[in-house]
Amino acid sequence: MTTRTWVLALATASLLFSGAILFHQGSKGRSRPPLIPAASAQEVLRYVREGKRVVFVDARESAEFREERIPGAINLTLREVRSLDPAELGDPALVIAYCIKDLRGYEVARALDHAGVRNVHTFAEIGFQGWKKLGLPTEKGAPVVSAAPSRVLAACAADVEQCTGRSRT
Amino acid sequence: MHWKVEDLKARVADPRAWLPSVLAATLVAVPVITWMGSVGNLVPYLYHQVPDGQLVYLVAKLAGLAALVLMSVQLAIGLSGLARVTAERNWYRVHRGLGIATFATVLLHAVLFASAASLRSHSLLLGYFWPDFSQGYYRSMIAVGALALIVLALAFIAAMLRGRFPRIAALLHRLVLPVYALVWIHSLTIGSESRMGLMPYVYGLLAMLVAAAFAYRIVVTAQRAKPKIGS
Repeated sequence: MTTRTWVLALATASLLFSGAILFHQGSKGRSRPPLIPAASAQEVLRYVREGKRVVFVDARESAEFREERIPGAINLTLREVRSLDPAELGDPALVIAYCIKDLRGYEVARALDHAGVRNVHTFAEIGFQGWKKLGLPTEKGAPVVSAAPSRVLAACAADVEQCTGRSRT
Repeated sequence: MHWKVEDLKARVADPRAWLPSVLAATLVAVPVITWMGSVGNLVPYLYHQVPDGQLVYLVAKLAGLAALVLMSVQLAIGLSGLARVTAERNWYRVHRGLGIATFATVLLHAVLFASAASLRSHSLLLGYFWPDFSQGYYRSMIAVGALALIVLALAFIAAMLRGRFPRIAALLHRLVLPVYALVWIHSLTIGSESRMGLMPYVYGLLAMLVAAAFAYRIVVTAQRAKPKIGS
């Protein structure tokens, strides 16, 4: 086979493969069960309000994590999840894996679920971007071990309208 | 098709008969196997509901990895100067073919990633193609990739116009060196799996391949420049 034939064969295969993926993407039935369930911000805040333990797993790189994150989130990239002992997370009522748009976050959620962590979810509002769009609290800078982040979230969950600056419609 | 043992022996003895196919198969197999090891079992994706763009995102990763492998081999062939050293015109053809494949794969990676992000956020995100370093770490590292794509496009066009403007084209084609550095930065800083599973080994091998090609070029150039005794 000549180089040109190889290049053409590779290009055709790549296009066919991408086309098949996009076709699958477009034709997927909404009735299929979700691989990883998604929890809405309201559900998450209800858990916080009820005093249940919610663990936020930030799937981004540490530099992004330090810039801004959900208060109290822990930083676990995909490569770190593989060596994680599920017991380290305890037994939370809800584990939310996220990144900016949940492309990486979804893979981390899948890896956590595969590792045996229970109650793993992603955000229905799509990642940290969705969280910020809702006006929910964030924290910046180097993470510190304290109860302050949970207090911020609990206060927000207690009065969501005040916290997000939105009035009920 | 009837194979004779003598024919087969002759083909095995002549690397030119099988080396291109083996190399091409390796170039396809290395990224595919590495990618499969990093994304895990994808079969559940086919019969479960997954978020919009997730599968496209995973294929974008495969294209990115394939682009890095192709670019490394391409750079190794170019840096080693094999075409000049061996005076074998086939290396030019291989270099040209691989160049087209590399550029196409890089473009595919960028388009698939932008498609995945657009599908997820339900809006067309063309901004990813413009290097914007003002929006934090993640966008800056994507901007490094976008910059690499733009400069690679210049180097690619330069290679196509080599016949018309040999000197300028040759100079511009050297832009592939900074492009390769940008690709490594892009890949290591936001490529989540670039430091897990098989990937560090593949990355190490690629780096060694390029370094060996460069060393070979230096040695050959030095040997040629050495004045012969008695001349």
